[in-house]
Amino acid sequence: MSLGLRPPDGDALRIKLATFEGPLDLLLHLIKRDEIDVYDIPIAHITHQYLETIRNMRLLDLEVAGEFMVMAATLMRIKARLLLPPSPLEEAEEEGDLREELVQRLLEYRKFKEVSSTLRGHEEHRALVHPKGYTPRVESNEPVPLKPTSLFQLIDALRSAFQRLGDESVHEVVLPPVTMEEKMEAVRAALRQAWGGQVRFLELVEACRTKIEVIATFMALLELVRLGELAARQYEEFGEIWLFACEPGRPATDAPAEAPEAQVPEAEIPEAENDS
Amino acid sequence: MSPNVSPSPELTDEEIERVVEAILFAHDGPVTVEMMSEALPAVEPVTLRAAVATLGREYERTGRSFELVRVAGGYQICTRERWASWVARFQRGSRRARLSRAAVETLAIIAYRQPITRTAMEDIRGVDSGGVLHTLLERNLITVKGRSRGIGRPLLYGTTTEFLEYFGLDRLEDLPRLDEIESLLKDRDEATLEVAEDVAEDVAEEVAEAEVAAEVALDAVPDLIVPAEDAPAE
Repeated sequence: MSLGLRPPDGDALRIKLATFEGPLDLLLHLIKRDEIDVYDIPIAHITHQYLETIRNMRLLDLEVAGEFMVMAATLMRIKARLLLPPSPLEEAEEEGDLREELVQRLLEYRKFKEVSSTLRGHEEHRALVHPKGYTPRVESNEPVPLKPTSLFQLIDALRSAFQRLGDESVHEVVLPPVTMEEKMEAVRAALRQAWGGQVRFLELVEACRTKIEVIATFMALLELVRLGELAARQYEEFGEIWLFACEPGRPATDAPAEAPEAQVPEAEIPEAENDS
Repeated sequence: MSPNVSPSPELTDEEIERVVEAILFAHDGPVTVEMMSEALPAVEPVTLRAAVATLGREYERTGRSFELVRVAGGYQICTRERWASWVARFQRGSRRARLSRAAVETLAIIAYRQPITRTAMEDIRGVDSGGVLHTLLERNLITVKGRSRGIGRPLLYGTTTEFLEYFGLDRLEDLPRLDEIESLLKDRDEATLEVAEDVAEDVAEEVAEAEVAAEVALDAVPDLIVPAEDAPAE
């Protein structure tokens, strides 16, 4: 995405800004634009250009991430060292190191940027060839291997259910009272009627018209899982969550029903840790 | 009829080809020779490979709209690029979304440096990559390969079979080597610098010419100046 503003009378005001993936991306852009030798970067010039770009980004109210400012500081530090009178040996070396380190980082980043465009080429080609394939629906009678569903994934599913509801509140109405017990009964009924004794989690909550109903349904599900009447499973990671009826009092064969969150395998932990 | 030289007692070579074709046709995704062996345990992998090659040649020879492609260590029937625009018109709207620049960049780093921690990857990119990683994990293009022995035992990421499939690569080795990329970039640097030098030379020449022209013009100026008193009165 790039932004080009040009008044009708010519080049008097011309702001052209590409979006950059980060400070290294911006530096590479400036180096390429000004035909600079990467191995011999004129620090004063590049610092000036870099700061000007950041200023323009701010003028246009683009969000300037912290990483850009860190790089600005690094550039100015290198530049300041260059302006200072000849310093003791070790300091001069340090300045050289900073600059050399920056060059090395740029070279390393540039390699992967180049690989990115190779990958992009592959992606484009691949989008033009259409693989033959048939996706079998899960309706077959064959047993499909199931994975245990974690509590986190149930909560994620709840979140997507809320998103489907949206924030519409056009006019006020008196909400019909909903109880968890009612919903437990509704879930039991749904499972009894469902083909093969399994029901999609979203199917249940889609029938709900208000948030409170969704919450009551969700609580009912948790309660039923606790009671061992119901088990939640997924066919694939991030896939749809299916609910299965279990015989009351007898937990599902492959999973203890009392504590679904206790079965989270280690491989699922990254979701929780990746929040940034 | 040709004699049955197939190592399988029940199937002729021709029939093996047809079975392989049927499997390729029915399966959603690339099919490896090992997967075919499950359906055809009596047939040697060599024979299966030969059958695949014969099929590929057949599609080529008979000018079909599809071809056999090697992807993610297996084979897949894909329409030819030539017919892409028609298929796209038919599939309007259901075309898959392209990956973001950040996503491709991150994948590039992971593909070459796997298994890699998030921190090591962010050091190369120079930006926070938590959001991108999450998207890539969700799309199954990368996966957690284990934990590093470093402080805090951070997670290590690597690419998946879906990654190869997404980019239509047979193996990771199909990507250019990093030293190849490096020398390519170096050549490009040199070419750019040469152009820059040439431009500088041209500019210098033009400036010199302009100076000469200016001098000539200045020399002519006195001849053009008419003394004030000789000027015709208005």
